[in-house]
Amino acid sequence: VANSQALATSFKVELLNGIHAFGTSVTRGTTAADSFKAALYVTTATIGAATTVYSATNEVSGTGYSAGGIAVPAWAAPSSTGTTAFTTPGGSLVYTTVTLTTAFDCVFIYNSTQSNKAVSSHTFGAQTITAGTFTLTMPTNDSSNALIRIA
Amino acid sequence: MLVETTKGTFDEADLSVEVVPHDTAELFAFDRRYYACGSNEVIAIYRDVKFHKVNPFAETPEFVQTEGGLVASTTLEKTLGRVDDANEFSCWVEYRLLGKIVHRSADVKLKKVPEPTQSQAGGM
Repeated sequence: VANSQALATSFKVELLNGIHAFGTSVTRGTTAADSFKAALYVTTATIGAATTVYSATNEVSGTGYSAGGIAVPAWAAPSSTGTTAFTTPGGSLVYTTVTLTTAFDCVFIYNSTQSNKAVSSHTFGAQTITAGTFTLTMPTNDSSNALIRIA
Repeated sequence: MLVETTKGTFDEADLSVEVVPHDTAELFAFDRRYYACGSNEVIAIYRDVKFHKVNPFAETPEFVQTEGGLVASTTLEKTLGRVDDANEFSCWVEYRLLGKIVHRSADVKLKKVPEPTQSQAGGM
């Protein structure tokens, strides 16, 4: 077997577990998982790869919705298949009994334990909700579909 | 692949096939309708179970939550909708009272899968 260049798959999983710190890191007082939240943004917002932290600017507002969004269910333990590490929340994001009359098309996931730092953003067809429930169903937690994947 | 039809068993290559959406309030799916060559008679229908998607709003509750409180669903006009494209499979339900939307719920499942090597997150 020849030598090969590679980013260790175990390292990718360990990144998701917060094991490695190449720069100045946070001091953790616990080994517990961080808490994450999911906020919704109106269609005129510009959430994306350049978004570094949660902001209330252009976040949806309306009856039943609190600024900052909702807690993300506990994530599946990070794992890997092949050379891809991945994880996905263990349940749907459910905004129950809300009225959001301004069209929104983006959910922004951020780490509320670590100063609301950005994790990811996901877009979909514009929606409004009237006295109803908005549900974002999670994908299959595998190396092809998981919400967070590091290949 | 052999296809069992009302006219017997045929090789799929010997039949004409048409893929049509099966779009009801309860279920979104795709049907493969088989015709004998040169005929308009449907001799077999197979539902593609791989793409079965049940509308979570298919059932109508007795009462619907509206901005004005609970309203009997019998007094409301119900509309189901969906988007099924490369990015998402979404369903929604709207209830109208005298033409005004008084309840709207939606269920979105993202399925777009960007290449993770682009440092992007995957789809829901």
